[in-house]
Amino acid sequence: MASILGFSHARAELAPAPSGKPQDLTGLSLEELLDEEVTPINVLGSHTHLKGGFMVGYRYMYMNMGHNQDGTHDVSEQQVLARYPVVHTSMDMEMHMAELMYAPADWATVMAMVPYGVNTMHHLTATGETPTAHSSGVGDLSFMGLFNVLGTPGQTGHHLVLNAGFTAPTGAIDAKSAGKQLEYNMQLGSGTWDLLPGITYLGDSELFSWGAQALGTVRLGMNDRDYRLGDRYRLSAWTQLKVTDWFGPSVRLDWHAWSKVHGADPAMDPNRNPAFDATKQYGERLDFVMGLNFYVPKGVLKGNRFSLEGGLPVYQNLGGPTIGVDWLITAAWSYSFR
Amino acid sequence: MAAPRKPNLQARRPRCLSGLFGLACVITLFFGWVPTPCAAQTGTQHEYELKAGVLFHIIEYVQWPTTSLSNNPTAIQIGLLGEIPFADALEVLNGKTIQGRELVVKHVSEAQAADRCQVLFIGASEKTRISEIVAKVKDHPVLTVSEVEGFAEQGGMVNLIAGPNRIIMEINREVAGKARLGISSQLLKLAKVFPR
Repeated sequence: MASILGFSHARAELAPAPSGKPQDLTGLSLEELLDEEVTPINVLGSHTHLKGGFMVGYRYMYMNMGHNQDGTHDVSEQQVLARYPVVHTSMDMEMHMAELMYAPADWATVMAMVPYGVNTMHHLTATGETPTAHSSGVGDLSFMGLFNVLGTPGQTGHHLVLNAGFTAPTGAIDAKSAGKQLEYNMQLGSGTWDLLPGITYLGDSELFSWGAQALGTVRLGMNDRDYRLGDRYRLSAWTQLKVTDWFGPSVRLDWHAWSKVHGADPAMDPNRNPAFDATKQYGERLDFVMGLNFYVPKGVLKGNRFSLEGGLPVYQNLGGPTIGVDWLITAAWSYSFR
Repeated sequence: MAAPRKPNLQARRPRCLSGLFGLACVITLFFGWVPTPCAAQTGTQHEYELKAGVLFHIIEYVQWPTTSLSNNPTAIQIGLLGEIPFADALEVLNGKTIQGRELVVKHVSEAQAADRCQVLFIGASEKTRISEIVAKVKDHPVLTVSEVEGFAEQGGMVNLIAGPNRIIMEINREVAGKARLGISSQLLKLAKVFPR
């Protein structure tokens, strides 16, 4: 599934004849025939590009959080307020992501992603006040190389891709609301240079594609506010069914884990708000996500890909009390060309 | 500032249990909803459709000596030798005309019989016999075409192999020249040419 890798792929191709009767391609020029893909791309897509391939894309992600958890159990706002003067009642996390990919060789694809985050946090104080905090802005830019170590992009079968990337600390770590420093999860960046190592397995046949990915975020050093966010780990597995060349539903299991913050932002009082407590910013979550994927195989819109995903956590174990995820959606568009 | 409100007093049940119930529901919905997939078309057929198209244009760019066309000057015969998956994709060429000559696609069982053809397409099933087959037709102006790695280096003339998701065309112009076949420079520009 493209959204795991943060990209998708589409190339010019002729759609195979639906009846099984061979197509007569003699009307194409020799140059066109030699440029055609042997394995036509359909809604299953591919995951890395052949030499000279470009992709531009946009992705919108929304995560709704509306309850508090401590470990695997929910805790009420009253229970949190018994320990802290403030509780989070809900949070909306939005992310707009611009993506660009280019393949300098068949075996290598490079990508860059520019995120723009919009966060809204609703609070409830012990005195009954309900302040709302906002943060928005560019997040940490990320750059990644994808290296095909097994299999050729565009061909069916088993593929193995090594991921190697990093993020630059371009997102703010001093986001404030009403002049006060916001919580760790309301900040837009990590403030550190982070490594993004990973490995991806991809498989496909005529009717299905499937895959699994392990991806880490390894934080380096300490940021300017004297802390380092915890490392993140992500394991994903997915499958997609080709119903037609242009449509395929998908399902995905997505496990995230993150460790606690090292050091602490001196402006955050851990006794006032659990989201200010560096030692509680850890957890893990397993999401079940379903998707609808569309690809335009011919015509003036050929090469465009659209996908819509929706999911919910089936397991969350959070250092808390902290606010937990209720549901999430992703909508993505991409266009590939050479 | 909004009006003060009372905190939520009730903690819900463990998240993992409600989540698992939700998972069961969505799996049931998903697999109950997915329509029956359409019949699959193998990529291999598309590969042969492309090879047929490429072969058509190759024939346009090749000049045979007039003596080789004397038996049937109005036809160019294409012999298919060996087991060729999706041979019907190549048979699409049957009946098409190039420079006033009709293409006739026929299956041949032996390279010997191929000397009456202008084009001999040798399937990958004959991989171990390539040198033997090529030797049998080398004195005839027969354009040998195959899809076996190294064919153009082993005395074949045109090799159509599936590269990284594209058809790659290799041509041995020296062998073609010895067989008195003229190959257009326009064709050579698009091919990987041997000897280098």
